[in-house]
Amino acid sequence: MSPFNIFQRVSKAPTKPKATPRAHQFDVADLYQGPLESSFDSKAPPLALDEKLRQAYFWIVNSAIISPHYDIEYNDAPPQSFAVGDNKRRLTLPSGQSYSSYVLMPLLTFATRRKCLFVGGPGRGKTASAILMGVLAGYPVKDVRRAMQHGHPQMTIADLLGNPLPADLVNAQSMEDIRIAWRSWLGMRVKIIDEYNRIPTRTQSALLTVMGDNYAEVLNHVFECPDSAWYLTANDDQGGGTYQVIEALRDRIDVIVQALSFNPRFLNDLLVRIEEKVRPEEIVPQEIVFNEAEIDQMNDDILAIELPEPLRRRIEFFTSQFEMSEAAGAQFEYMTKDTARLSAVEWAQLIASESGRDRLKDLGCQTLNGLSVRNLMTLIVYAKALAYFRGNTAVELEDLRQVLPFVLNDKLRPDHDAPFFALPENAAYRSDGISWLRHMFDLSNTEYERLRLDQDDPVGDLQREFSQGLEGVNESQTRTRITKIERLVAEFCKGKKLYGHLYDDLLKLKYLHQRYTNYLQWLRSQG
Amino acid sequence: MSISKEFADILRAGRPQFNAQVVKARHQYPNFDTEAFNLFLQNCVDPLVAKINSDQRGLFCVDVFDLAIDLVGRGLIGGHVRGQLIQNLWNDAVVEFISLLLPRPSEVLASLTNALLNLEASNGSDVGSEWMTLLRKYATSAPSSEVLIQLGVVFAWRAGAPQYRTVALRIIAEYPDFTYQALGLTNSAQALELSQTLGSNPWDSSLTGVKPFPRTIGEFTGLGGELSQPPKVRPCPAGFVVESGDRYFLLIVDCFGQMLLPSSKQEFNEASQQQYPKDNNLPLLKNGSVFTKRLTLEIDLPLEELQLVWNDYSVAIYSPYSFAIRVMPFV
Repeated sequence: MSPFNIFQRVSKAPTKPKATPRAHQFDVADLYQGPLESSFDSKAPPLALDEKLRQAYFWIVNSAIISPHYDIEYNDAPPQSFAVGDNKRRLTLPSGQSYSSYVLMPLLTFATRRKCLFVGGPGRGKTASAILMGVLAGYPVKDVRRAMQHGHPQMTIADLLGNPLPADLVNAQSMEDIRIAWRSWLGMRVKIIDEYNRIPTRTQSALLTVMGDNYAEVLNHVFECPDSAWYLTANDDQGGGTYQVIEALRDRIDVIVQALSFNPRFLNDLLVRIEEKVRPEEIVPQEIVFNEAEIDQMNDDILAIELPEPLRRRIEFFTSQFEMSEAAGAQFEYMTKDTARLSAVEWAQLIASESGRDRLKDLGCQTLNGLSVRNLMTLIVYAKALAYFRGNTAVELEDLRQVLPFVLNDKLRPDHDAPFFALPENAAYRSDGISWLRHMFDLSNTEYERLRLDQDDPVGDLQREFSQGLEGVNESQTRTRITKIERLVAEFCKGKKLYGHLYDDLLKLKYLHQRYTNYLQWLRSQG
Repeated sequence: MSISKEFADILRAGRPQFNAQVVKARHQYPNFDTEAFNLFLQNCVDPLVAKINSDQRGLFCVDVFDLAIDLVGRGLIGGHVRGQLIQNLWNDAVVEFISLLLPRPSEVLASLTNALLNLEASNGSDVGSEWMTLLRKYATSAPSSEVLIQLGVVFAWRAGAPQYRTVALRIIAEYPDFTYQALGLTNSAQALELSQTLGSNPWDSSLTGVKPFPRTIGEFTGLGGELSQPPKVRPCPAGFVVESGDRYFLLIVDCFGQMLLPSSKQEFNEASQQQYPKDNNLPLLKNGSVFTKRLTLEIDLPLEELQLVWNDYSVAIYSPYSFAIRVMPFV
């Protein structure tokens, strides 16, 4: 490669070196490889896909998107941290390889074929970033640009999905005879919807079908779309678009990333681009372009990443905090925020009737809702994707901690009237949703550790016992287990305040009790 | 100082292209030093151009011009040690075997420059200078650029880079005719013998005449060294594995040089499994000195907690009161 292809330089592998022992067997190439291009530069073997993904990341941050915000921080050792300004905000210098969420989250979306929303003011590179992802999937820039759907107030379903052929409309004897000219973007593996909050509500519903169910329908004709990564952009996600985005569509979005402001210290980089007439999306190096099979493989590899049980328990514990609302239901199962939401009871009225819990300590009091199954699935997939991106075979707690805010942003809605937000030190969390979510996860982990749930989890023990199956369990053993559950329920209920995690534990115990009760009845019927 | 007429003619003929290259370089490298570039062309490129046959001169210039831009753009040319070494390589050494650069001058020059930079970074500038001296003296014995590249590894080992010992011995066995002089031997048969003897004992001096002497390796990071804490050392077949704080190194020592390479905790733990009995040749600590069969080393450290470990060929002496590791031949 000529030394002047500066924008096409891809970081040398390994981009995230591991402390694995190196083979101390030197050869001639070890002496002659170096900064100058030489014939001894190793002809790299085919890269592992996680390495290729990291190279793509580093190419984007080094040569394409000027986003010097390392907000996804990792530390290998205690980091240097400084208090800045009157509010003593912490500036941390991470000691491990850290990342820019604005580049990393879209890239993980690309690898997992999920849906990512870019939000931020005009001219911050949202659309350019989305186009880059299309190019990474192997499409020519022109095709990606042409396939991009631009939201506008007059956008119809036909604009979005396709038209019936005019000649067929006149001659057809039945609906089956009408052929549809489907829009080409429907068949692409990267789909881009620019300014999606400017699309009329009716057209949004058609978009929802494509996003949610992966097919498009016009006049009884169905187009099955391939699995694809979606990128949507919005200048303002809080209602600033022309149309209100329907909730179901918002819920389909897996992650939201915010385009952070441009740091003028990097103006020279812009200057070079202007002078060199460089548009990064037009010069994506071939080495970091993924073909369809590679994306499929990458997706499979990501799903195969292990989520260790202790981490799964932490997700369970965190999730448990939010759904329970003691005042919302009379029956135990209906004591949820969802019950309250469906009944359209005033939230403030409901909160006023709650008593007993420490509303400052209880994380559930900070939110208006709980987490959906989709949210949890997305969280797990992105945590696995981040672990994969970092070259690991299992998810680490920090992976979860880093992706969680981007997945739950806009999903877990804050109750700004909660006592937590009234504290002066928490004022910034009103506007900084990412930090608030991460802070909540930290608080949840602290509580998890305080309760020593890794060491002492009787509900988990009962579940493990049940998971071994009922084959060969006799009547006496079943009765013993039922008694054990009943004792545990009694212990949990004795003089304790009802917090979210306890609520879910009790429901789990009820579930196990019911399963054993049914089994006991079946055993008896067998005589 | 002006450049030769030959070089000036070529630069004049390709002026727009050469200028365009420089303009691009200034975009690529914001700190591109045009003055340093001009000086490099005058001092280092021009003498080479003048020695090239007229029919190959044009191609040579175009090829080397790109390389010179890359060197200057990367800040490798200048008054610093690396800059001086590179200029010496181009000025003094390469000019001696310029015919070996053809037909791919930039490739060979880039490889040699990389080698110099690698040796300077890993083994120090003294080893780099010594390598260059050997290159200047003995590279002309190579019949082609391919063999020259192989000989460069032998020179690197001979100059004091023990990490290349194994590959250098293989090259010596393959090219005894071109390597014996650089090893201070009188004929190629000796080179073949040396490839055997030094293969089985890295301190063997029977052919080279290089007297083994105790080495001191390692220095506190606060003084620019590698070790953040007094080291712990364990023997392994390649040498010794060293633990210092949370970092690990492989220590290789032979008759020509010494080297600390990055290693891992795993290697350190594995090294503890090694057993080196060597019963009747055990090193002896007596009256403040360590005695081996070949050498005596007076220890200038408190004797309490002084540690001796050894492998098949060397004994390493270390102490919690020092960052330095002493290594001496064992047998």
